[in-house]
Amino acid sequence: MITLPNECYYEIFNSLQYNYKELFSCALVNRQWCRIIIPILWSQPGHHFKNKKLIKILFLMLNAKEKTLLIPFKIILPSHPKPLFEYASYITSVTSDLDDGVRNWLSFNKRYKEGRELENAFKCSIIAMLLRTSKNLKYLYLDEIICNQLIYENLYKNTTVTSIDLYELDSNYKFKAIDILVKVLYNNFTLTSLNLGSTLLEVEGVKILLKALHQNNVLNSLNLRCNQIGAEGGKMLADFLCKNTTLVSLNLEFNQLVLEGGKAIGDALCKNSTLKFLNLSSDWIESEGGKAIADALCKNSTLKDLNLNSNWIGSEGGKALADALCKNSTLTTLYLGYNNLGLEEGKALACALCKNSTLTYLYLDWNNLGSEGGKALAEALCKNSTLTSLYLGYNNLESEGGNALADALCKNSTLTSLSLKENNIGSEGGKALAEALCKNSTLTFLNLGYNNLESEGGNALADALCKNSTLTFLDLRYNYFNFTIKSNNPNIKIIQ
Amino acid sequence: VKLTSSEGTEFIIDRKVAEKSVLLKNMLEDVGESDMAIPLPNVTGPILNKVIDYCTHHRDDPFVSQEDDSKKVSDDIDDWDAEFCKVDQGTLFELILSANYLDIKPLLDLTCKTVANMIKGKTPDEIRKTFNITNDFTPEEEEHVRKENEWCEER
Repeated sequence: MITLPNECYYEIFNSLQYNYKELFSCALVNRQWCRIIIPILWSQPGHHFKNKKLIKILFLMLNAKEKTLLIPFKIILPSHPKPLFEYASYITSVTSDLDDGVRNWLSFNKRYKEGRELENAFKCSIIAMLLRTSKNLKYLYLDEIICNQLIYENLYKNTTVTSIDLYELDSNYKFKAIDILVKVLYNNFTLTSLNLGSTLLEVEGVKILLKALHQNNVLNSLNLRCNQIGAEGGKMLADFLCKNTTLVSLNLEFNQLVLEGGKAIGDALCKNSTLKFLNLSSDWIESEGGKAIADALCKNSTLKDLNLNSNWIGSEGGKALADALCKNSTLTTLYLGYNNLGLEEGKALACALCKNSTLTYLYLDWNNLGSEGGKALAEALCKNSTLTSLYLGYNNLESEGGNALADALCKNSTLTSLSLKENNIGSEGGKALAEALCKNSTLTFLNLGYNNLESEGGNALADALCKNSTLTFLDLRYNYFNFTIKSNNPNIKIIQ
Repeated sequence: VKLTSSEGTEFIIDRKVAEKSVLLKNMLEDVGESDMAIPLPNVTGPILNKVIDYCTHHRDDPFVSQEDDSKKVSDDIDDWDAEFCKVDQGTLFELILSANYLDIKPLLDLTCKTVANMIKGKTPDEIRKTFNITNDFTPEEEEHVRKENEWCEER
């Protein structure tokens, strides 16, 4: 065999990256292969962290200081010879699977009493060790163990971790954990992504966190979903957004910002020019909040992805947002599901789609656009040539709306995904859509579930599938026909 | 563009074909158009011929950036490429060397994927036989590696 330079072997084995079994076989071939493969094998153990055999190897790498964490539990760890490689130093990502791994190891070694404290002691020792030894640790999952002194010390010194997930803090640890995180943030210049979802920060927690972040110019992604931030916290975040110039992605889902919070965020978006992804779904910002965001969209030219699902935006807010879409030319993705949008708002959005040429994804499920709203949007689709995904599920479009959209599909050649789920389109609408599918050659995803298409609609679609060769996904569940639709196209997935 | 292989055979190819190789592209940018042949002492004539075949077939492909992980899956090899890789093992490894030397990322990916596919489903012993590799582990070492990494075998 011709000997290849290591970089070529690296290339070969990397294309087997997640095939652990294959890589394991390769590692046993000879010393050279082994040395190249072990770092690849250990870089992202993922769900293998659940495996007690892997946990056992990690225990072999604890130093004396890390082992002292286990002294109160009178635990003697297996004392095998030193491992051949510094396995832990190759790990780049620690996931919550490690929790399961520790639990699995404990329940296998039955002589130890199980319990949260013991589990945490084990987790602390392992994560402290990883923070000490890994040269490439990037992604770290933590919970209340962040409160452990050794973890804190090692995290404080660490300069490799770029992303931290902090989950499942119960109220006893919440403020201590935030306190420690803030101390780390003051000193840290590598962390770019912070996930604090469901940690129940509330206003107090947000206040402490933002104080630290005011001086930080590295963090670009912040997830604060489900934190009961409320209007007050929303305003603080808005203030923060006015000054911050590094944050690119912000998730504020389920935070009851209500209209005051929504308005403040809207005003902030007029000034901020770095944020690209914003999730304000389920924040109850109502019409007033919607209008403020709409105003911002007329001025802001950085935001690309905005989620406003479930906000009771209603008529005025909806129309304001539609008007804003006529002017905005940066937003590519907009979610407006569950917002009480009716016929008028549907028409306004249709009008916007005729002018806008940047939006590619529009989600309008669970509104009440009705057949007329559907018709207006269908007409817009004949003119618009940028939108690629349109979600119109649960909108009472009826057969008239279905017919109009079918017409649009004959003319439009940009749309690739269309959802018309649960719209009572009926057999008439189904036939029209089937005819459209014979002509259209761009649509790849179509959801027609729960639409009473009946046998007639079903038959028409079955015929259409003989001609259409672009569709790759078709949902036909609950449509009242009792035969199975098949297609000659091997690439299509039909759910029925 | 003129190229000479290790034996001194001359090849004349389109600049666009040559530019598939980052090494040649940079050279051409530095030197500019010239009648001088570029010597490639690390590549033999028959291999250079194969490489040129590949670059000519893929001349109009868009340039893929180095860090495109989506193409890492080792199964998606199209028919022409698969046919192209139906060569003896020696040639395949020479192609890897040349792709690496000439810096032609898509060809390196393709040839490495082909080797990866040859490895799939084989035991260490079968791999050693396939590529004629001698096992230089001591039995103890081999046992260590096996024990310390046996978690890989479970799903």
